[in-house]
Amino acid sequence: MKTTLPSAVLILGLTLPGSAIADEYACRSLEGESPVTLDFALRSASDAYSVTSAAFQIEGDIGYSTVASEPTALATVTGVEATSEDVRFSLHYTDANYDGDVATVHVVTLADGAQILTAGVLRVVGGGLWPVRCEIDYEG
Amino acid sequence: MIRGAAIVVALAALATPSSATEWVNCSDAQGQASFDFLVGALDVISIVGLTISVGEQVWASDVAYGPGDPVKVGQAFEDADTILIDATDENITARIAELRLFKATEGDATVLGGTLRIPGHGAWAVSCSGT
Repeated sequence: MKTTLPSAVLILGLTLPGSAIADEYACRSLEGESPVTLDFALRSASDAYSVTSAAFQIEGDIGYSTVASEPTALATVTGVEATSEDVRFSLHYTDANYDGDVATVHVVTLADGAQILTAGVLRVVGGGLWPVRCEIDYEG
Repeated sequence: MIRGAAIVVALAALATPSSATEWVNCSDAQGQASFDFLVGALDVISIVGLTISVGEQVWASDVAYGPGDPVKVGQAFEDADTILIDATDENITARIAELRLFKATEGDATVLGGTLRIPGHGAWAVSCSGT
């Protein structure tokens, strides 16, 4: 590890030029009271996915942000990998001062009748591992 | 540092695929549905047995694993990030359950989380532990 991960509230945000309305994901740990608050908006167009905004907090612990206001630290969201077949995608959070991802989200979305379900895992380097479930607010 | 309070379960056997024989027990937080599978001792995923439950309905691949309607492994896939398992009826004419898991690993700890769909019954977000 090149740097010590900061102990701060984690807010991740990324705004892309020309952002359109996106689906908003609100993810929490699957069991117990969630120390994880992970929110992001995902826009898809012509099978291309982009994160238009994100907010990410580990209760009382480390954090990063693409909009870097105290007490957050700067990070970026890269490598939004998605497959349209069963809507699996991954988000990679990186920090210029750290080799590799500082956090990674892998989730899968499935439809069962009218029910839409998104769940997966969150890994925060030096912070922990959580299975997560996401509620989706479709606005696009 | 790995947060001990989290639902992080050491599933090192799945971090390096199937390096030991063990049951992997997946269920939703409310215990409404479960999908348990016995992983063989190969370096590729090999499902030795499985049991599935939702409400009062139970399936088992062998009576040795408990009571229930017969079920078979239709297909199973594992790579560094995912485990995908489909279970079928004994005649391989209908899909009984679909398990879609992602893995996250740090040090010796691995967490599995994803979705379980049982057609005709519903879908759940699940996490898994090893026994």
